[in-house]
Amino acid sequence: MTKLCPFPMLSMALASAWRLLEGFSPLHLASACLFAIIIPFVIAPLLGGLPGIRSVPGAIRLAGHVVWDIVIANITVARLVLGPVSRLRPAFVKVPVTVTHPSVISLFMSMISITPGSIPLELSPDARTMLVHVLDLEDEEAFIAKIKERYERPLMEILEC
Amino acid sequence: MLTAALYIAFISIATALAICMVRLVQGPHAPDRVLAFDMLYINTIALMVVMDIYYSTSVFFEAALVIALTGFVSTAAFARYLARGKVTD
Amino acid sequence: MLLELLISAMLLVGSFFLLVGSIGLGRLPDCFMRLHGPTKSTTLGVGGMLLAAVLSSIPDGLSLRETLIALFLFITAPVSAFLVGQAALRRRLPSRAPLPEDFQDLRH
Repeated sequence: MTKLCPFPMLSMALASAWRLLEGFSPLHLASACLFAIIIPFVIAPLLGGLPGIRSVPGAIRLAGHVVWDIVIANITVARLVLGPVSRLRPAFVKVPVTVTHPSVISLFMSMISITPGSIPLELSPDARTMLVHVLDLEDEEAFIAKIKERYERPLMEILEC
Repeated sequence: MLTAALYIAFISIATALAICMVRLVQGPHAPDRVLAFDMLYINTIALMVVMDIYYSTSVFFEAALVIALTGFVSTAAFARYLARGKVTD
Repeated sequence: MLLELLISAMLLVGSFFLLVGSIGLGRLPDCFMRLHGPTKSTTLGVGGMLLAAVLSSIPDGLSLRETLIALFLFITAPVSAFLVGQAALRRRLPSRAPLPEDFQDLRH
């Protein structure tokens, strides 16, 4: 089973995406299954090892947090953009990265970039520090503590890395 | 009411597209233009989705999907070219 | 009636955030600050529009196909923002915030 289906989550996502796209006839179901089995094999060398999920409820809670933060981030950025531009305090912040797994680092960076007013720009060559641009920075220490507490720690708890 | 909302959506997307075009022409640097292009294709996807609702069909869905795929790939290629001087490693 | 209200609300939310993203693109002074507009408005702006499309498909059989576009954009928006930001950083574009020193020799 693990030989046939090395990444079960990816296969399930592919099959459901294909079914959403094409409808529900038996032929489409067959092609969905075919793609769900073939595509993971083709891209397996690119993926490397993916970390497993340790706690599903934790993952759902983190997803809820992220969705909520997206809404907050949009309202915050809308306020900042429509308000006076000269009052913004943009800054580059260096954030230390604790997670080591490449996939988890990229997930962490994606989470930072869709949440309140910050975009990661660069990862240092040893992957220990990243450079984040913040649109309106109040307190550097508090900002670093907040993103590490809110995203990195749950990620380390949920994923096996 | 839905018609009014649709018209408001059309007008604001058109305004957004106009602003993106201004940024695309004005620059001043190449990454700004790539960013304007990125926003332009996202607005186009939204426009197609609104047109789907307006005409109550789904003919624009495939077009929106293709624009999303090609738009991302071209933004990534442009940005990588500007950052590294080449697209692939 | 309620459905129509919901669709209209989603359309208005989506178009507002798309417009705000573009205004940010036009208004903010440097490239690094402009990055924030498109990244944020993709998520809620296009998300709202696509939710409206899903809701409007309810009367003749729910179709969730639009969520695929939303999902794709959610995944790709951070990546394209990261790549454009990296391009801006390596070309050392003018920035209101001072550029950090030790990330300067990254061009390879």
